[in-house]
Amino acid sequence: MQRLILFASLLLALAVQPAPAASAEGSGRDLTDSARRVFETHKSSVVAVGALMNLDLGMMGGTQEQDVELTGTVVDDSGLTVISKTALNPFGDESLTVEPQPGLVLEISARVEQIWFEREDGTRLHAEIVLQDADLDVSLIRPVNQDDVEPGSFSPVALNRAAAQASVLDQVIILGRLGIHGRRGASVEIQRVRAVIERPRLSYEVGSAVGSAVFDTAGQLLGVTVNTQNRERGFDPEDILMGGPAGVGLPVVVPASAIVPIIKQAQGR
Amino acid sequence: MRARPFHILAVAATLVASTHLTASDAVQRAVAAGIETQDDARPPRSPIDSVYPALVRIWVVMDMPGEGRIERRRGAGSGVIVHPDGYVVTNHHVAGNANRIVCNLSDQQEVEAELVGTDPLADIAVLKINRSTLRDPDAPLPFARWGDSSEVEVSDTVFAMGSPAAISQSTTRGIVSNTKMIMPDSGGVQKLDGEDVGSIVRWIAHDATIFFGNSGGPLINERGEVIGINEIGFAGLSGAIPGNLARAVAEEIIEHGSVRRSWTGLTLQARLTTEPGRRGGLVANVAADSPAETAGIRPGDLLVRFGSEDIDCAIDEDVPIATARLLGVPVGEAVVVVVERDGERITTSLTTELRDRAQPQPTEYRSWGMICSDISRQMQIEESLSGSDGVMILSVRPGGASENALPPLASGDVIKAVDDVRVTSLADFAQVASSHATSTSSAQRTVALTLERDGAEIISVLEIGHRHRQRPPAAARKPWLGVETQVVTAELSRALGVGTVRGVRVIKLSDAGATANDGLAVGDIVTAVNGKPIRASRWNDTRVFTGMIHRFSVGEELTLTIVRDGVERDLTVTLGETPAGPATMAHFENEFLEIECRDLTVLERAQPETTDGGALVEDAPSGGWASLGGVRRNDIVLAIDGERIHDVGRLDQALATAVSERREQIILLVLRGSETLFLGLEPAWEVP
Repeated sequence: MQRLILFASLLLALAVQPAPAASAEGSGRDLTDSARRVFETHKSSVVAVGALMNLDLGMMGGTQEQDVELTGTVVDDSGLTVISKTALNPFGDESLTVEPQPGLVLEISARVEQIWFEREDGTRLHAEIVLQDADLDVSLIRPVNQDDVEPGSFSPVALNRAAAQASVLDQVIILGRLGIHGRRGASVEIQRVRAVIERPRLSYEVGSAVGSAVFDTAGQLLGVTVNTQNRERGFDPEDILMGGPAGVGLPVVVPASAIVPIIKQAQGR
Repeated sequence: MRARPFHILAVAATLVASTHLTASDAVQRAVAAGIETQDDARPPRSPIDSVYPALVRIWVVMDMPGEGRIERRRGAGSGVIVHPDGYVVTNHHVAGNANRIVCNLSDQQEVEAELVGTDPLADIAVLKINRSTLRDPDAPLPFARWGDSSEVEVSDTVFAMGSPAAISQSTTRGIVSNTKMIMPDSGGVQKLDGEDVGSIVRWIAHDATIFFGNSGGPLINERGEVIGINEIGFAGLSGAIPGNLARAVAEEIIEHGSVRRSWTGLTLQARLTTEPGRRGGLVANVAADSPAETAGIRPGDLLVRFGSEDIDCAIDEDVPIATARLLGVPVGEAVVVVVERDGERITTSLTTELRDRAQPQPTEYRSWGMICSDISRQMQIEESLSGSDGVMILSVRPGGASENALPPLASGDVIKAVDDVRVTSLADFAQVASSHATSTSSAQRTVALTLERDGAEIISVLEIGHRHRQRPPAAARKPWLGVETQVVTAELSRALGVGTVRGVRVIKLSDAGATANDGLAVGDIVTAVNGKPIRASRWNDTRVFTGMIHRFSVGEELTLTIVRDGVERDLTVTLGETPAGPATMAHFENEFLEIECRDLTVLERAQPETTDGGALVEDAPSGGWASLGGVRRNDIVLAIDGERIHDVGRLDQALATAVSERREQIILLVLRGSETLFLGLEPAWEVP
């Protein structure tokens, strides 16, 4: 039971996203129209992704499997898609030892058993993780079998290294996906850049949910939302389980320019 | 539908109380000198002496249905040899689902045993020791004698014998606290393989301490006779199945391999009123289409006579005895039944039918991602099914074909047809599943299943085949300096006496990055990269420096400004590339032992124990032989049966040899963290 609570707490913590700071105040019809255009143009680029995680609690009692839901941004015709690495597997690639209460020491490791695209018609398209970048908190997934990919079924966003940039209080358009209870429908909102984070690398905080794609008002991709943690060893599950200050990290927008080189590596694989 | 886990002993039970006794030294000496047998002329000097030699510690590997998968689990319990041919009585929940059984005899011999038969309703199983595995196959085996449990009285002194927590044979002493203990009415029913635990058992309650592992061990009286088989405990009381019941069940199993019981369709409960002179058991339920229904018996009737037996259930404690009588008449016998209804006595007759197991043997269909079974009469009644034709899904595996079916399959669904082929039993389904078996690991086939769910007929489409499993993903290639650093905070600069110098201090140089970090030394403070200051000030800002390095390219030359021994200087380095990660390492999987390994990365070879290589365990799924042997994810296998393992190629060969030789035990030397340990894999080579 304890392990169920443990994992449930973790998933719950991951599911909790920061509330939007403030809705876009009267920015005029132009902005709304622009957001609608971005939504209509790119809503298919933001996709629902599912995964099956296998969590190993060591001596505490074997393993358990758990479904996870994510949002990803499609970046090429083959279905190559950017997701947050920690949203998929917050435990990372190594075993972690946590002590949620004195004397209860758990050695936890997790691995991704399966990952798939949740298609609009409710079917699943099996995928695999092609490449991951722990520094950027980015994983790139792609359909396992390209024969299963119908031409035009993936609608990628345009990417380049000289992509959009933003300053504080700039308005941005966020595209996301609702969860299973919203039939994974596409969603859009308008927000402002609340912070520009310069170190260890450039990122933006706009109040977006992890996995969502963020555009400037001209419809150019600013980046995708991932988690960032200012710590030596990345994600610390104990922080979540014990209600520590860092929690799961901070959802930030990693600029498209930073992701492009990784995408190129993935495309070469 | 799945049986709930059976908690052998309540958590209130405490480990080895002060009444804990062990066999006398005399017995131990006698045992050491040779097995004491019942034929010895020398009379035993204590009740314990006469039973101790027959006491058995049992180790099993059992099949446990999980979520869509039958997993193997280790278990331990106790038992007692009750027959000179080596028959051992224990609990069903100890060994009834075992596929490998090893017994430790009281003289330290480790012998193999096989399951003769099992009875989940009484929670009794019978094993037979494999004589060929005895040190002396012709030597007589000690055995304990049964006593008459009907003579047991409250306050009698008793001894509980067994292996608490799987420690060696032990004995505790107590008194009989209650001769009619039943399962407390806590609002639920405890089930064991679908059978209602306690429906025919009224335990002998005693206060001799028992614990996990005592299950199946004997409760003996002061004459050294077995008067019960310990099974359960709650509220500080231990409970033993009465010896007379255990003996009858064991003898039937020894004779026939199983226990046959009658089914009437009647469920009894204690009377609601206690008027003087009134007798009988209240009929709580009459199953549809049962012999009782055919005989005209109705709920609310008072059953006063069943065949030659008077029935009386004045209190709950009387019900198991009455139920046992109903089940105990010969199968197919016409029984005269007398019931009382509205003050009148009605005599009728019913012919009993064979009572089948509540939960037929579950079977896993791995490529379908489900466990299923035939449908017993009890399942049909409990699930209100239209009939017993079909195959019931007991559970589905997360992420498996059944869960991914459209609509997803669920426990409780009854498969009626696969495509156009009607399925009436598990045998039918096995045939269909076999015809759909895919020849390659990646092949998928689409089938349409006709299901009964909540009385409705639905069709679900699923793709059967092996699941595509994600291997550890490759890491992005990045420029790499091959150093680890710590941030030089204001506090650290003061401690180091370097004034206002800021940057990162080199704390470790990687051998694998020797080209890139050439010229750097531990203790150097890097203050700038290509003249650009490192703006790290907090202790956890180490990724600032990494982030700066990542802005360059592999092979690019950088100028690092460093402070060494208080002197600032520039150093030119050429960036390398992050070493190959796990995803690019050679990979190996042994499906029989259920272990996946890969070669070590350069960084993983940095430890002294791994400089000669090894194989890192990527997965050892729970319930597999490797997992049962204690192998865990991220262990590094260093040797197998003394042979050094340098890589997965060597591991593959070593395991293939061990498997082909069917070695009784495969010893792995593994590195776990910073410590080495030995693990023994003991697969059952012929799993039923």
